[in-house]
Amino acid sequence: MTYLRLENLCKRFGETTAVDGIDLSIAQGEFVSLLGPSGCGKTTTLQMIAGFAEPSAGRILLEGRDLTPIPPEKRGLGIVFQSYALFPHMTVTQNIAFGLDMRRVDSGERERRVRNALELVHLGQHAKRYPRELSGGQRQRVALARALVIAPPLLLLDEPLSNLDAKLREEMQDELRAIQRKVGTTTLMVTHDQAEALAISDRVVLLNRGSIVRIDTPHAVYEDPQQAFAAHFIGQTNLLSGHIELRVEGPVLSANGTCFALPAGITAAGAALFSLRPERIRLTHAGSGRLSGRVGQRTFHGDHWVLNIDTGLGPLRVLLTNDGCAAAADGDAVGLDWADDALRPVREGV
Amino acid sequence: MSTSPTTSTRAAGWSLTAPATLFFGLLLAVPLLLTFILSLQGFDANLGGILDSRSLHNYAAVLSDPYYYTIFLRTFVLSLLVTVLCVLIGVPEAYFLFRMRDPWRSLCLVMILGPLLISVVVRTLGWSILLGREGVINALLLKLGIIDHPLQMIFTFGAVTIAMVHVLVPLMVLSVWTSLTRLDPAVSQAARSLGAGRFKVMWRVVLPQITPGILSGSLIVFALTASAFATPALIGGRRLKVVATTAYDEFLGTLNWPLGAAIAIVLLLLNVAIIVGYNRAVERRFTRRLG
Repeated sequence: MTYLRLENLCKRFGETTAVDGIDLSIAQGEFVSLLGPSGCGKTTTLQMIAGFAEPSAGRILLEGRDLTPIPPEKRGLGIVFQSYALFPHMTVTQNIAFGLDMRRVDSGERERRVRNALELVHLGQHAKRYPRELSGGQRQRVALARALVIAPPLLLLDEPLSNLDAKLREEMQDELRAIQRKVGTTTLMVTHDQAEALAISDRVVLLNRGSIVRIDTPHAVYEDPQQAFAAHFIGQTNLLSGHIELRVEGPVLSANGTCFALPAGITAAGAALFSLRPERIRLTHAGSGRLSGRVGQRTFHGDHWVLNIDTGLGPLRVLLTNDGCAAAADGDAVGLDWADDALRPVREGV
Repeated sequence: MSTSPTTSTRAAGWSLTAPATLFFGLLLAVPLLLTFILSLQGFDANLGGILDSRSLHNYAAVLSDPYYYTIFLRTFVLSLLVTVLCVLIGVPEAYFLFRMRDPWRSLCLVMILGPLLISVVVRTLGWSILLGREGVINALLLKLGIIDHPLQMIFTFGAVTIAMVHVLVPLMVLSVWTSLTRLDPAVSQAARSLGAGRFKVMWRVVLPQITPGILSGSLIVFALTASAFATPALIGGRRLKVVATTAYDEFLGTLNWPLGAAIAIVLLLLNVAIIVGYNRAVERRFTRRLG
């Protein structure tokens, strides 16, 4: 059941096209992320849904009602801005109550709802402070409470966590997700941080140059990226390009005079590109496995090791979980192996 | 680490600030001191002008004469009125200007600030041409038959007020403009998303945030009006004296320099008292909220 629907949404600024025909359907209660590099049109899309930018073409339907001709103050959407955009001259309570004031909610009801919102974001004891007396994380919570207290049909988040430091960001990710689950508000988040998008979304909408590249669950997008752009942008990967040759012993991918065995199911020869995630590669004894190589550089990251292995196909990145023993040292000769389904064919372009 | 700076860093500090200290000392402190000393001296036209005596006689003369009360009160009311009008005109002007799009915005900003490049005297003379007995407005009204004898507009309080507002409104616009450019546009967007229309956004979100700018602009306008000379002299003339023109007349008219100096010092002290008191009140109110 479609709740929010974007139909062929376009935005042009003079000669440049920021958003180029986006079609998207979101179900009620879903948490969807618009993910992409800067300049991909994700913020412009959010601005159009919020009503701050007028679409050059297309429609925005919320529960079947066209939002496009409605001014932002009549749309009733909850928005959390990247800069939080709190009212600096109002206390936390006044900030949260603002939307209710505008709706002329009577004072008893208003007080109750503000109190609930403060509780939801654990800010009860800061109710009388001004925004400049709060930390970044607390401001973020006020912004969220202010957006949710009006019980919006749709919550829009514009890079909500990008101004927080790494540790706080992870905490807020969990909390944001927990709050969204609890309240059940349909949420659309714009972010350039793929880890954030993977961690909190039900579905990810990957954008590039104003168009949708892919819409799917975080797991599906990660495991089967389909496009080289998606494979690169979401997580890290090794892209292997070469020629498929169908030999008697089975299909192989050959490049630079080296080759390795491909899954038996492949029957078409010709140029090909594959994505191979670093964590799917296993190290084996030198001489065994699908490829042989030599450890170029090894870095330790606490919970895992990252190894750069020089192979005949070029350098490959391998990620090994830290199991307590030291991994292969620099210069060691090793073999590389992986499961058949680790190798995913991807398309160039977009 | 010692808590007190060493002699060499202290010397460096003094020598680095020396040019500015010297500049202000010579150009501000010394003349002020000389004016103050002058204000303590006596005056007798028959005994050859300024007497070499020291007394508060001149201050007593200023503070006990109702003639001066009227002048000081008139100056205060004028300053207050000009300040209020500058706020009422300058704040919306700056806001509309701020909301304009760019080719027009820069053009209008130049148009508003352009008059600052022209001498106050020239701008004021423009007003006397307009408002004079045989001025443009009177000539037009006579020709149209709306009036049958010229209106007295120049040398009135209203004319001085209009001319002062015209001279000072760009400073208010500038001051408000500065605080408008510091606003995060997302804050207004947030207010709109929460259901505030354009007017509510201006009244409840923008205005409180630019209040410090309005207040500092008012301070500038008030202080400049209270000490203004050229405009009251040319538009108000001798009929409508303010403190600055009175001091000037004492210096150049009656040649009673000590009395003129005393009037100037009283104006300075009143101005400083009002500005400091106002600033204190404003600071107490806004530091917690807006920093």
